[in-house]
Amino acid sequence: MPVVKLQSSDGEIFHTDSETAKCSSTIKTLLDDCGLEAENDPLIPLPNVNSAILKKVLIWAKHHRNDNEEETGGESARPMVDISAWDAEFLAMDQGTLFELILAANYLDIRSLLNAACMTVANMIKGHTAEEIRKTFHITNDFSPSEEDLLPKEPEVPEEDEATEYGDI
Amino acid sequence: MSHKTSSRRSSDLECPLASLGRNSNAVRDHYHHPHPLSSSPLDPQAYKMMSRKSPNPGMDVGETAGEQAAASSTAAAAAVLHMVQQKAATFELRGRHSRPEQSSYAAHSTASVGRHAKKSPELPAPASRNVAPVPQPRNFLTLEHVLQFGAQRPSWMHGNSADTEDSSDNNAGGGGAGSGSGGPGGRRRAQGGRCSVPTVLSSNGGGSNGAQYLLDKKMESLYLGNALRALPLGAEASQYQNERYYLEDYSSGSGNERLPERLHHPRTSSPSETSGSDRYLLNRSSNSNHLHSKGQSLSDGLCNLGRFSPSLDQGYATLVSPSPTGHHSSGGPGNVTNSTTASGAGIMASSTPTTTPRRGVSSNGVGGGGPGTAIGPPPWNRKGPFRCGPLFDRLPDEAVVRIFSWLDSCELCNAARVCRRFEHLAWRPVLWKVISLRGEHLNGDKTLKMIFRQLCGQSCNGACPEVERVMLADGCRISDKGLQLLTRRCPELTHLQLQTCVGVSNQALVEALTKCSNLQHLDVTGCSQVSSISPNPHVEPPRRLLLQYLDLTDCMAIDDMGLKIVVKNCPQLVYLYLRRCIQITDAGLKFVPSFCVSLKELSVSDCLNITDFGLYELAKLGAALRYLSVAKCERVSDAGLKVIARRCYKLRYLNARGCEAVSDDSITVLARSCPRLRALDIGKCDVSDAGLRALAESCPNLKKLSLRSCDMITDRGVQCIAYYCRGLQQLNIQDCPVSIEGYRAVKKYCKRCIIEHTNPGFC
Repeated sequence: MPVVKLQSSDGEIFHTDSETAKCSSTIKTLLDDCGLEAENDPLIPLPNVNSAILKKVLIWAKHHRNDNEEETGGESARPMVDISAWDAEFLAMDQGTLFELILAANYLDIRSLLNAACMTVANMIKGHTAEEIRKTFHITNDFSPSEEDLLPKEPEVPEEDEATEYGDI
Repeated sequence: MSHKTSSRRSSDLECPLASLGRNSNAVRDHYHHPHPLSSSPLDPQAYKMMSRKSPNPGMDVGETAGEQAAASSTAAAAAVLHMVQQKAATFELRGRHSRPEQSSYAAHSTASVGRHAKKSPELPAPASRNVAPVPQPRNFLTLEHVLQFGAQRPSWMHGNSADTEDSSDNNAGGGGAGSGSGGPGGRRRAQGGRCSVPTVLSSNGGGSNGAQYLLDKKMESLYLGNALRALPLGAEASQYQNERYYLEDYSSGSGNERLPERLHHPRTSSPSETSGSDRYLLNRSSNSNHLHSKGQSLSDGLCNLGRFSPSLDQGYATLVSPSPTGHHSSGGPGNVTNSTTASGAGIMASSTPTTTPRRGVSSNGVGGGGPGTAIGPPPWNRKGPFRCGPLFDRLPDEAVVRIFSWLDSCELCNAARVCRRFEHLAWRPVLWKVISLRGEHLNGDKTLKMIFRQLCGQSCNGACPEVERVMLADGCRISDKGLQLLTRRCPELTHLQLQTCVGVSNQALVEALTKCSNLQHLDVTGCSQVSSISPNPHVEPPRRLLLQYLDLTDCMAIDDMGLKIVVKNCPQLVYLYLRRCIQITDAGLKFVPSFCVSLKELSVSDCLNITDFGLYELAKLGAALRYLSVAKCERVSDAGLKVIARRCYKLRYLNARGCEAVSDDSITVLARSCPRLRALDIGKCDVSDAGLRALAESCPNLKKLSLRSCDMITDRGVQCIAYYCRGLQQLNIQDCPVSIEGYRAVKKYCKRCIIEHTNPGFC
């Protein structure tokens, strides 16, 4: 199996088989279309991914290299509903790394990883109030209090008068 | 002025802080711009302390703590500066809007500002620190961070204060430019330090006092400059409205020109703005406290308005009354907010003539920076990302949108309240292909209205062609009004679910069907007023609907004539559910096969008037029919089922639960005719082991079988089923005289089968 060398932003070089590397559409395009594969021992520099993240990405790619392309690519309209146990465990990492991973997956165009990681983050958002979300992700509230009042109310707030009005209809 | 940059740069390099900061990500962009703090001697130790509290753990992998700290502090400083500028700029816009209405306020506040100005030097900074724990954490932190900065370097301020004051008076334009130019860096610092400095270091109050005073002065000049700018250019405002403010590329464009000012007033902005916003809190809490300085109230006004005004571009402008009460959340603190707002306006108005030259200076200074990068101009004049914390800041918009794509409508609304960037992204139309509202606590009309206002803006005929599915369920209801709005806004709707919307009338539904001509899926379960489904009856020739899926469950108003109109208008129906449409009789059912030839699924469960004659008619659907439910149609008997079984031989699912007249006779025919049967419910039917045996031998694909309350069934029948239908996944033998033997047989042969039973002895 042809070996591909990937160079992370901090200069570390990872050897991997081309099948794994091709989980990334970016690398796949490089190899296929740009004829890099024909070269012996192609070295692909990845200036946007550091070695720690690239290591994780490769673990993911190795585990998912046999996934059916149609299966993962077809659900672009409504992405998959559940994360497999392995994926969930893999993605159980600190927020910083997780976001780096999203960035890397975005850059390398690894659809399955991007989806799974984004879904993991979405699950952190789900079911929390705005304030809790801010706390979780260290977000500053840049709305002014007055502006906040004008924001569309969380639909959760029950409107009593509306309810009675509703009954009449 | 602007040419001093290069000469100062070399000296900056010697500052440990500057060199630290340069390597970090946050500062990399500003490589050529000296750190706002770089000219002041800062104890590296103290710096380390702060660095430990740096908020982005793990994000800056590979950077040292020191670098992080430098980055975050730079960022924060720049951020604050920037906010000052931004707010000032915002204010000018806001001010123009409100001026006519608030002229009286303005006059009053101008006076009050003048009064405050005298007191400002004595303003005790520690006091504000004491009150800082006002329950408003977001400003609190920033303030503390800034104060901490001030505390560490008191000497600088004392030394420079006269200088700075001077420049702010004489070089008003320069002052304004200076604070503006600090923008990018300061803003960043605020971001970085926001969460990271929860505690207050004990500090030298005098230092921050002086700094604040200077800053107040600076702010004022900046502010006046901006206000002035605003006045002659009426048309520009509209341009601002269309653009989100922001700041990222700030440093890149005209940074060099602005540097000199920043060097002159190294820390101009950060403390003032942040403490300003904090003081704003103070004001809110201590209503009648007039102890704030001129700059304070000014910055209050800026803060208040500055934060407020970007909402203009969202169409909020029309919502916001220019009256003071429109500007704040609660009554008590509101007064103060008003006064500050008004005072801001007052200053602007009164100072216009005197500050004209300043504006010229500031704009000249930036001339070379390219469009939009000017010092004075409002930051939102430039498109750019919003700030939302160290984690999300790193993600490109598309990634955030991808994250949001996993959130449902309510969660999106919630996310939109988190910060500006989230709000901006959460309302991307691409995320609103499906509007799904569930739960009784939601008011459908109101929620939809709010959503459409965000998606389509305020215009009354704006449409959201992106919205394809609207699902209201679990008690979330709309009335005719809501449905009309929906119809108007979503012409491209394909799926519509209106569960238990008892308020929806026939007329509104007709309108919806007429306008949303692409509708394929309609679920009006429980809409008790709906008596028919048709497009506008007055259109000639009558238009056919594209509906493929129609759920009229519990639409009790539907009678035979209504059903006729429905099927006539919807010839493409594939799925039709008429559960509990109790008025329907065989006469109505007759129309179904004659119009909907491709019907695959039909449910008439609980339609008590259906008899065998109805089933004769349905049998005309022939092989197309895969799914039929006649549950609890008590007048259905063997005769009807036999016809169905013979003609609809591709049946996969049959529900005849509660049809007590159904016996082994028809079940045997069914089994032999429909070998593809996968699911069968013959609960309470008159079925015995003989029927089960026929089923077992002929329908090996059976996956689900319910024999509930079939009291003629014994272990033998169940064993038979278990032996032949190994693929069984669900078996219901509740209230059947089946013993542990039958149970064990199922367990033995059907490994994946879930057995529902009522015998406590089974285990």
